Amino acid sequence: MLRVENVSVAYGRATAVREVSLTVNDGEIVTLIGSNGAGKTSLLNAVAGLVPVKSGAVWLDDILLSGLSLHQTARLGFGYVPEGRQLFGDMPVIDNLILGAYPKSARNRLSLLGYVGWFTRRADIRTNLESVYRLFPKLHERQSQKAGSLSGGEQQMLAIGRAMMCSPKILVLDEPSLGLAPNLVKEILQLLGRLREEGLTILLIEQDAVAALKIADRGYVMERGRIVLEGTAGELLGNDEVKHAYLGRALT
Amino acid sequence: MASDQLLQYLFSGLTHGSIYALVGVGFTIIYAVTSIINFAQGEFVMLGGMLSFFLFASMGVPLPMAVILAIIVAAVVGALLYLLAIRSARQASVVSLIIITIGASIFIRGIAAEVWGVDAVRPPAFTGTTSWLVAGAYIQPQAVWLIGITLVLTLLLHLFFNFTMMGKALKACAINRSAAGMVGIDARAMALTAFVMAGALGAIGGTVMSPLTSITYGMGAMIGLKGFVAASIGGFKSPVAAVIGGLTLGIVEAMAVAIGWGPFSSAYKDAIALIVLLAILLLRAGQLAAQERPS
Ligand SMILES: Nc1ncnc2c1ncn2[C@@H]1O[C@H](COP(=O)(O)OP(=O)(O)OP(=O)(O)O)[C@@H](O)[C@H]1O
Ligand SMILES: [Mg+2]
Repeated sequence: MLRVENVSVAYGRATAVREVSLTVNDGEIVTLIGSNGAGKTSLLNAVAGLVPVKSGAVWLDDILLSGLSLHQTARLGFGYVPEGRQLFGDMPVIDNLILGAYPKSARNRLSLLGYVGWFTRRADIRTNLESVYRLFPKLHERQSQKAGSLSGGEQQMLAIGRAMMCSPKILVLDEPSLGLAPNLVKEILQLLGRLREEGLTILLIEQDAVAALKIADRGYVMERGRIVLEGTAGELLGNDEVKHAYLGRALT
Repeated sequence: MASDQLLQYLFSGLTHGSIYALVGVGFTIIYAVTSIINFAQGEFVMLGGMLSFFLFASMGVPLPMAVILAIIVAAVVGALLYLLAIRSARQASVVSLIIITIGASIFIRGIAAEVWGVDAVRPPAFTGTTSWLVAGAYIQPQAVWLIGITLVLTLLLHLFFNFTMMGKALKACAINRSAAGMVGIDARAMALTAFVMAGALGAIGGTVMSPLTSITYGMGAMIGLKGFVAASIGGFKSPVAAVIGGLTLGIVEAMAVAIGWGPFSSAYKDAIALIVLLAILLLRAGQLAAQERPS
């Protein structure tokens, strides 16, 4: 369970996130929606440890995440699929995935000097690799192709696959649909629905509120750094304000 | 020019080029992982040579032990450079960090002059000094050591960066540091690793080279410059590219002297590196600006 308690984030004197609280329970898909510049990415980056949390606390189960750095939150099970994918473009697909399992291999420092092929054969890593390839057969086909040469959709799949490689406690996606064709967006969202059925906990940031709320259990609406509305997906889909502000474009 | 003479210059070029290569690899690894140009890189070579000489000559440590100890000490100096000067200056910009490395190089040089004096020293060769005659050209056993060790290290580095988990993690930091963090790679541990590797590689070069050419406390500046040029020829991309850059620079220097091109009698040999550097800067200025990582 992820608990964000009164988190504020500031860049210099400009506050991007003001005392935001939200919860993602185990096995839920929760979506955070809001227009450009609302502060969604800033909030996630702070939770992940990429930018400092100015005040407030973040808990993953009973571990305090706030104050930790990026690699520490990753090792504790915060599976971040960031805005813009952030792949290792010059490396082949398979290396991106194996690096996703870095926390598993880094547990024994000396083994880091070992041949990467051994890691792909290690039971825990191989199981994850096989399940990522089952989710995204395209990645298997293209495993020796450079990540940077994949199509936008395939890159998004790889970003998700990479985050899945170390069996995260929560998968956190920042606008996975950005720049993708509508049918691909649908495919990715359906996939998230399937992952949830397998027991994964998901926090999904989306601008396409309708699409996100359709697969989500609950949602939060963020405006100018604050949570202005929260509720079950059904409530938010039926809410007049939400309809007016976020669904208008999609419904007409 | 007779072919045996040409071969003689080629040997000389490969020998000098090997040391440029090892220094260039240090520049490349640190730059790739941290975006810092470490201008104290040449000091590692000096430390390797000086430490091995003084451990052997003044303290009576057997030569192989002295060499290994010198390399370990230089690697520790690399670690300390990172931990004390770079890591603690957390908020500093890359430019300030580069200036810090210049300060560190002056500091290390100053300490060396105090401790070991300003006279040139020359440790004994590993396996004798009787030159071998190869196809009409002479080569010293120590030069064979230097070239051989450089080639072996190049192979090992290539295997390390392409086939081990840690090598790939270092590469990942070089490609996208925040993405590396997101998969659990500790960028600071990787930066420390890079400085340790650069320190050890420079010192290996210094210990193996110093029996060939006597060395002084101040040699790091020129060797550092040559290594920087080697890394530039390689585009600061990969260790192997830096090695090719170093060997190329060594051979170009030797050949320019061989054909007595322009003012390049051996007295002006060092100017060639500067001319090569200038040419690269002119060619690459646009390219480098385009590659500049947003931080
Ligand atoms: N690195 C930064 N430095 C300064 N200000 C920033 C930085 N990143 C974001 N901001 C500012 O913080 C505010 C929130 O931005 P953020 O990227 O978190 O919004 P967002 O909700 O993710 O928007 P989008 O939907 O467009 O991705 C914006 O006003 C933005 O200009
Ligand atoms: Mg955003």
